[in-house]
Amino acid sequence: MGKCNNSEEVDVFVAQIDPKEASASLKMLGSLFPLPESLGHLKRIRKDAQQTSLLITQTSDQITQDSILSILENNNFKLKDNTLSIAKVSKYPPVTREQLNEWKACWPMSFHEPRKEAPIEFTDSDLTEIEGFLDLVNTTANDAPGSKGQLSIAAAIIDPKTSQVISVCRDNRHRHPLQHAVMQAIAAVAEKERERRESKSDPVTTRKRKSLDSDESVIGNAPYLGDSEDEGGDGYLCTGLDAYLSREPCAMCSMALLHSRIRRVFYEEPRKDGGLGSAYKIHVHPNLNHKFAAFRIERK
Amino acid sequence: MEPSTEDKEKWMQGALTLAEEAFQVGEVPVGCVIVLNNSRIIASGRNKTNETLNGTRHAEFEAIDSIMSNITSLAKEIGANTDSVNPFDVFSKCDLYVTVEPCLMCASALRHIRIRKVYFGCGNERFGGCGSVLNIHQDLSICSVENKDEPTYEVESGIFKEEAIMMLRRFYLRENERGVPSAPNPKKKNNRILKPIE
Ligand SMILES: [Zn+2]
Ligand SMILES: [Zn+2]
Repeated sequence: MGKCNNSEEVDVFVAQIDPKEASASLKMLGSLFPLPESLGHLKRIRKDAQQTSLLITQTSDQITQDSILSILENNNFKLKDNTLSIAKVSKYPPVTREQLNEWKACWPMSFHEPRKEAPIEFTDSDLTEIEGFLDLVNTTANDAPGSKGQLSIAAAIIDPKTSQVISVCRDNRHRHPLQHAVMQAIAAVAEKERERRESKSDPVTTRKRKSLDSDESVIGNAPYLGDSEDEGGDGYLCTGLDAYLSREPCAMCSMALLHSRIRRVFYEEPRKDGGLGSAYKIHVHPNLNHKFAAFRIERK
Repeated sequence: MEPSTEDKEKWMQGALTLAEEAFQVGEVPVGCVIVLNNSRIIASGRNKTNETLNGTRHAEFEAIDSIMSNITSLAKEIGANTDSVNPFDVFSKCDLYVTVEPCLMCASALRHIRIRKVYFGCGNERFGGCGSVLNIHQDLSICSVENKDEPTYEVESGIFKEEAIMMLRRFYLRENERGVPSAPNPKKKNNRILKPIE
């Protein structure tokens, strides 16, 4: 194996196979040992004149070499000799062509030319609409009388294509510590969707399952929205929708927005414990499998 | 008082049963139980994101909601004030046993409810909020004015770790056999153009 010259490397298990088994093996490997998105730059297979090797999985104290071999064996996975070796591969995707050429010596990688980020431009009418939705949220947040102990916080979820308000909810944490406005607003969208399906007599349990977004894993699995295909969605509850919040959401609410695949989030008041810019930047965290745009709106 | 190894395994076995139930109905197999004073399970939950169409209905939320719907009698049971029930009186005597490390959302929720301690089986490299992606369970910087009393909590991992991992693998293998592309082959990241807060 070549040397990466890359200070950030991770260890992976590698096994040799017969080249004829490559496509079947790759398919099975994808479900037995999915690669985390953070290693998505690594190719799964390496072919050269002498041998064909597969990247099986990252080494970890959670799984032993023997248990990997027994999983492979139980699934009739054909290894050339029944052993694994350890290779060092680049932990990060290459940012430049030079890095690619240098780092791929130890294991093949894919490379995407970075795209220039365009400056954000909102038209006057965009801004008017954004302010209008923030006004709606603030009005809801400050609705008199509110019950005793209720905080002046609210959240709205909007379909930007139609400017339709899908849900707008006030915070309820004084009654239930997890019923923050954002959680309430997401739950309301889900409830509406369930009602819509029931009225179409399309029971949730029998609906057709849409292919899952390929990088879904462990938890955070969003619903298989069966009929979203014909509506242009990708199968997640808030795909294409925007959220307007009276204040920056906490980590729980920020991640809930990510799990729901929100498109954009606009909020006014920053918070020390906020998850979209202050304490964390969950919307652009490099290890998370989805990103969204967040805007803090300052008004006089 | 620290639960014995037998206790921990007994409670985690309960969580695994819930994960198995999730697997049977086609949900990502994650399950949990909440144990009061290391003496009895007062709530359990499993992933319900498909059934509810709500991607936030993780096992932890299901269990916490079930406690909240029963909070007055639980407060009574532990001798807390029942005139104006404070759910934190109950949760601060509770431990969570969950088969997979809580995600960022759930890790933060567990701060909000002031859980006493969290035990989990396997780590969650993609979403884990108790050490894998972020350390929400121990982060002192997220104590705002309103949640200044939200204590950090300790976590312990590895109880029936292999069982939890195998359950997830079994799930993704089945999805693949059904022809539903699941966890494999990470999709190319969309390059986002709009990133004002970075
Ligand atoms: Zn929140
Ligand atoms: Zn979670």
